[in-house]
Amino acid sequence: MSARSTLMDSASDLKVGERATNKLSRPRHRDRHWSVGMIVSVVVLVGLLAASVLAPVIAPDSPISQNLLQRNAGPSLQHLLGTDYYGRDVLSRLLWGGRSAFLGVLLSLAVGMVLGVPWGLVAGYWPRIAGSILMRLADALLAFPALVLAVVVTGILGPGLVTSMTSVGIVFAPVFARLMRVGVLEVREREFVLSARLSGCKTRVLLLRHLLPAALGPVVVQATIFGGLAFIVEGGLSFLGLGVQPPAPSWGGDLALAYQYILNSPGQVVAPGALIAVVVLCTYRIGDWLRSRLTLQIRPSRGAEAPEIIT
Amino acid sequence: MTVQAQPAAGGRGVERSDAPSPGVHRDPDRESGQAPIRSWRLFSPDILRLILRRVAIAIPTAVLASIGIFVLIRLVPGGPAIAILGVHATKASIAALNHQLGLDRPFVDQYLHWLGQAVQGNLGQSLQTQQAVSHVIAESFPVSAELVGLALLFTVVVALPVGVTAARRADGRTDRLLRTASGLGLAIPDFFLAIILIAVFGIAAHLLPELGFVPFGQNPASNLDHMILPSLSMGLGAGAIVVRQVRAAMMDVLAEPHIRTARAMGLPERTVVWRYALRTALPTILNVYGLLIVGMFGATLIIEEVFVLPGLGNALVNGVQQRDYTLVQGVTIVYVLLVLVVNLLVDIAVALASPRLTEQ
Repeated sequence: MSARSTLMDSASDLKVGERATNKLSRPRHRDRHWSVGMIVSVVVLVGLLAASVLAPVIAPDSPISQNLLQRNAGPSLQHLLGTDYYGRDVLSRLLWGGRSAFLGVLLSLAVGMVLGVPWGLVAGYWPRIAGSILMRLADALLAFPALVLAVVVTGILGPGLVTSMTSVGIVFAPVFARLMRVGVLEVREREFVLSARLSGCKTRVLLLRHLLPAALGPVVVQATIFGGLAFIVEGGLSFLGLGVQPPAPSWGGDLALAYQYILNSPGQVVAPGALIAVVVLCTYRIGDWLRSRLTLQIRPSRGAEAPEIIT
Repeated sequence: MTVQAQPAAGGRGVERSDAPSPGVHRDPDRESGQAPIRSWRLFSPDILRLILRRVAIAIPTAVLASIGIFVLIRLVPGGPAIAILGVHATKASIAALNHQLGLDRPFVDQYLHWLGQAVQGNLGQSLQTQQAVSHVIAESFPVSAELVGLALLFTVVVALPVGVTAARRADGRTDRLLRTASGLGLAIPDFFLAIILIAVFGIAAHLLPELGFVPFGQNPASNLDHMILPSLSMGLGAGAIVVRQVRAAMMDVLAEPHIRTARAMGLPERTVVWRYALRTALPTILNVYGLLIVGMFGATLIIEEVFVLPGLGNALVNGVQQRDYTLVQGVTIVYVLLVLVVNLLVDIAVALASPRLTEQ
């Protein structure tokens, strides 16, 4: 029963705060309402996003122009956060690096949803043949540790932000597909689907207008959590040299550079790493809140969550 | 929050089915507090059936995954030959190399040949170093396994008890503190944590060696010295997950009637929590650990790069960077097998820990 009410909830409206009438679920009041932490998370995330988008306007300096006479300089009026090993302005690099981080994360989520949602929709609606084939495929993809798959696919597509985050999206897709399928399997038995079908609703309309919105809730929550994860993975892949290619700025790549010269100036590692952590913290927080808000009971099937703990 | 192991996996849904597995004695209400709830039997027919079924599912998955890898590698623009010879290679030399690598034969031929060799343990030669891939794997796997093993040990010894404690004091000050800490632990990327640990314990305090690897056989003490920071940087993040998941699982169990009964019977709180509640929560926790182990093997890719450990993850990353496709292919297959084996072991462990789930 819990699954039913929650699916209804998520179907009716994502924003409405009405609780599922589910007496079994233990209320977690603190998580449900706008708490201070939640507001801070949203503000910080939106602020960083805005700063990244506006990087070309507000960055004090070019992120790649070197000044070899001023390497590893401390903070000054000219360089608010100092300069890196090649004498580049750290603040400007962080702002521009944020652009690629946000862009990469959105790209990976988009790829994951675009692949995974139809995948699960079809697998849930025609569960017999198409469904079992499609889910076998998902099983095979989930048999790789997520980071391994992301790294291998990136290696094949060639390193770069777009290719690396596309492969992260491919890693996300089977998880979305599974959640979607479970949702569709549940919803398709309900009366409104039956009545739509009886009243001669076309399959395409049934899938897109009735089943898709009703089963999308868990996927959206998962996507938020994967968003946080994607920041870590983007940083990790850039750290490994498979993501954004230097000298282009990225948080992970800058961290790798700072790590390489950590004996010269240990302080350089702090800013890029801490930025990733802050962004991830805020995203997770929002994901948590969304989940408790929707009182979703996401069914765990092994592997469905595997990629969540890849780093 | 990162792993959503809801109780369903651990058997909430099935909990109340009153069908005891054959030969298993379970009825906590009737038992005196001290008697074992059930006997552990590894080779009961149920377990054997479960193993067979899981293996039957795992084999096609492994084959499908290996075909996937095989196809992917042959999709590389220009193929491995260009990667080896460079973009300026002549057509003749590319054709010659493709022939030498067997890449000009039909795909199915190539795959069956490769599969036949792989089953015998021959995964081909590294394109870069000419070493046998199976040799590279045999050299590097123990390093990764030690790293994951130590990190896992950390989560069991430290994070698990912390999670239980948090559940006992739910919403108290300790609990809130732990929740904040574990939230941080989830958010800090492990490679950043690794660098911080290196900076603090290695460079600033000179307590531990920062980088490198010493084989265990050569010098066990030094080997462990070198492994502390890498396994800690993996274990802290994983520990955060364990704390959260164990807390959630234990809170669910502690609200159950049989725990109330145990308390009402006057059993010491320690016995109630650590013996009865933890055992009931065990299947859920085991599932979390299954996901965690797989995730940790993924994390070795980055951690081994940071600490310059010659493990499996390092081999894969190097292979990808140098476009050493046979190596990538071989190592990836090993990862797939590893995941399938871990999943199988977890399934068995879960079945052993909760007999009533066996038939699900």
